[in-house]
Amino acid sequence: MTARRVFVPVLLFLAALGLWEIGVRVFSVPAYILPPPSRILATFVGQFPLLLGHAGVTLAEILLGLLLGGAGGLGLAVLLFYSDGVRRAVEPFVIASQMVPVFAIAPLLIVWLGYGLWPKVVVSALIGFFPVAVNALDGLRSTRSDMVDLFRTMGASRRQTLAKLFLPAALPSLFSGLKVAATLSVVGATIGEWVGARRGLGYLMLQSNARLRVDLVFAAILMLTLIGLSLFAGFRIIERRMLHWAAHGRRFG
Amino acid sequence: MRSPVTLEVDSVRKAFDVRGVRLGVLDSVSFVASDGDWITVIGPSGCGKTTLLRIIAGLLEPDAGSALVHGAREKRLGAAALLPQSDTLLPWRKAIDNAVLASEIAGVPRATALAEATGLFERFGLSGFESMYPWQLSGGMQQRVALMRTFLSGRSILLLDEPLGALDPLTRASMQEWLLSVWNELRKTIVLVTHDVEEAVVLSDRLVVLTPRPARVLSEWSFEDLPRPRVRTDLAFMRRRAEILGVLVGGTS
Repeated sequence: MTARRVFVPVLLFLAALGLWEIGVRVFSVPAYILPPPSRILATFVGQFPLLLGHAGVTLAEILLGLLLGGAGGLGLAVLLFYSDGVRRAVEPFVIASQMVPVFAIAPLLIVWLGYGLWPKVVVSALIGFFPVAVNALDGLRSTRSDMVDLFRTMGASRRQTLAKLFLPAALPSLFSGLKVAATLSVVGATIGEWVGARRGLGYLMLQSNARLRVDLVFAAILMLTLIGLSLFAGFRIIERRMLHWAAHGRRFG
Repeated sequence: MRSPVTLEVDSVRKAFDVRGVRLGVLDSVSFVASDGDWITVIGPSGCGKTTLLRIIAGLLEPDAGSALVHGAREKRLGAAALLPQSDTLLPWRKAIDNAVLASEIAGVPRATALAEATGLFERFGLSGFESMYPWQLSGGMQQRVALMRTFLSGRSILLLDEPLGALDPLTRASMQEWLLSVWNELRKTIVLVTHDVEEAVVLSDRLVVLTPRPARVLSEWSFEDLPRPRVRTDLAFMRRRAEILGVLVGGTS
């Protein structure tokens, strides 16, 4: 069953690559327009040290952005969960902030924070925090009320109830948010680098594009994809380990 | 000579607004429990038994009348341990960590709490299952862990809301016997809610029979003339059971 589940998408992927390879060769598409997959793979392998160097920078931006966005999203969710006043005051701004295209803020962030790591981290965090906040708040709110009552009869303080009941109950939802944030933060870091950078995969893509090195652009895209997939898979593994209880029987909360 | 009164429910009345309609749940319910008493409350489904327990636990305030725990109307919340009707083990905690939840919240040092709980695991027929998660335990075992959590709460009054309701008849009968022996050993004041007359006669010192909603006390029974352990096939036992059933079905005392 598992073998088959992997087999079919892999087959489809290889077929698409084959079609691409044949098409490019049959119609003699120049490599600066669309290189064949074989050439992209060769570039990926040949330029691997270069790619790895830029990937390290981008990965650092992504991880810091995720950390910041995740912590911010969770913190905001807890705040909104506990205080109706804060929710009424802040919620419109939180939603409005999602209507502002990140592309529009990125140049400003470069002006404010310079060409280094931080504007990319901030862009990445800005994109990632919303799904985390929304999902975490959902999870906090879905905690069963009979459990909350039980904690009250035990004389639990607010803080104890948060740490021992609400947060664990919200973990499955929090992870859903983090997985979305992980994929978005890759986009965020790349956008940040497009607007202004001296290093990173986004920077490499722009440079290569300008020099008609489309193969290197694709190699960088492949690297970004691998980073995104690894992040997603990493969260899945942590989730399975931490949330084995949620996979059994009915879902809690 | 009687033990001091620990629980006094006096003419408690409670109504709820359900979609704009005033729904009387408790009309006038009164009973007292002395230290170490086992009081059972029985009545037709939906007659407000759970509401009564929630009022005693301090989760709700009565509209009229009073509920006094240890002689005080205030600070009921946290004075009695509640075992809710629904399954309320925390799925992310092992059996032993669920059992010590109340002690943990009360700030009992972990080593002390664990030592106390470990001793009880054998008594509750759960030795060897300390490190299992709730989903790994059968329904009867989960219920015993929940009962153990209630017993370990350090409270002298236990409010049990149909703790054996979801179990099959065989498990239920052996759990009743076992519950009785645990109670004999630990001597707590118990208020048990059930809809099983036989269970009430097997277990309790006294029985409070409620009318359909809005509930009043239909009749009160004492089983002090039936020596424990009570045998279900005993003539006196069966006669008492039939009398109570007659009252419950007929609605007059």
